[in-house]
Amino acid sequence: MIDFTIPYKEVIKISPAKDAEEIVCIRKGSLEPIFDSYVRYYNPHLTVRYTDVHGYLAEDVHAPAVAILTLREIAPTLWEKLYTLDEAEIRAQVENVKRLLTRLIEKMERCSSRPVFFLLHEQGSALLCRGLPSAGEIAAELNAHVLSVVHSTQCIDTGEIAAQVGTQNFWDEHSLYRFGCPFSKEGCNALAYYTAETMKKKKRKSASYATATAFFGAAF
Amino acid sequence: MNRKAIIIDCLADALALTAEETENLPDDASLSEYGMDSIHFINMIVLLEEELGMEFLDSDLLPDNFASKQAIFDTIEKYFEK
Repeated sequence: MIDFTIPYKEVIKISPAKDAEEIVCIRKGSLEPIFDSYVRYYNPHLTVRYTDVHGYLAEDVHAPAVAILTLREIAPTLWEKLYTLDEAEIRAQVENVKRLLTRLIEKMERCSSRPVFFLLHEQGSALLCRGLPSAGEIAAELNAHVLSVVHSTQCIDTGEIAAQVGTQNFWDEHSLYRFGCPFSKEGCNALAYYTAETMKKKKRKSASYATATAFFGAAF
Repeated sequence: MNRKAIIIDCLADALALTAEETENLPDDASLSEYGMDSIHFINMIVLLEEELGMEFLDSDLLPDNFASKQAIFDTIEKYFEK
């Protein structure tokens, strides 16, 4: 369970284990150090390295990968100009982002034994006056696209996590301005918990699969 | 625990020093010489806010305001003067 009672001073005292495995966190802005501290708290055998989507696509990396993206970073033009673009421009941008997400998922599944994707979660009401989609609706469309292209990637519903924290407490504009992290301490805690737990479960699964394959042969 | 002791404690946790080592740092010594970087800085701010039950104004989050122990004491004291 997510531990919301632990004081942060106890969280940062946890040092990474000597044999800690590096996971790659795909996002533009770093969530360091709050997210990392909570990941270590839930699993000291993990350390986090950050790279953005384009960096991840360009590098030769074979490590468990977790994508924690927001519309702001995956579609900066859409995010910044949503209120001024017309419908055709919005559609073109959305299709561009879908192509980028497809490439990202393909790479994660090719290069990571444990790919994890936190689905986009955006608040925002419909732009009723212009009849255009809101950030929330665009995020939902992109999520549906991600779910249609994944095979081995574990997709986590960020909206449900936000609901556990309380949507108003999950995001933190203040923290974005101060530290470049869009999530609150509680939001980072929850994201770290699900990252650590999913990595642990998937590792167990791959380990049992490897054991079974070794025992029954590759045809298993 | 008084406020000064809490600040020392938070600073020690953020820099991974003992409370005694932190206590012995000269008040005006530059914390960057003792390992303070942007990561430690964020940890220290989160810790201070949590332990002191306060929230810094964004306008106070300037490196100079947290450059030494004395600077931190002075910055925080403002919040409790009123």
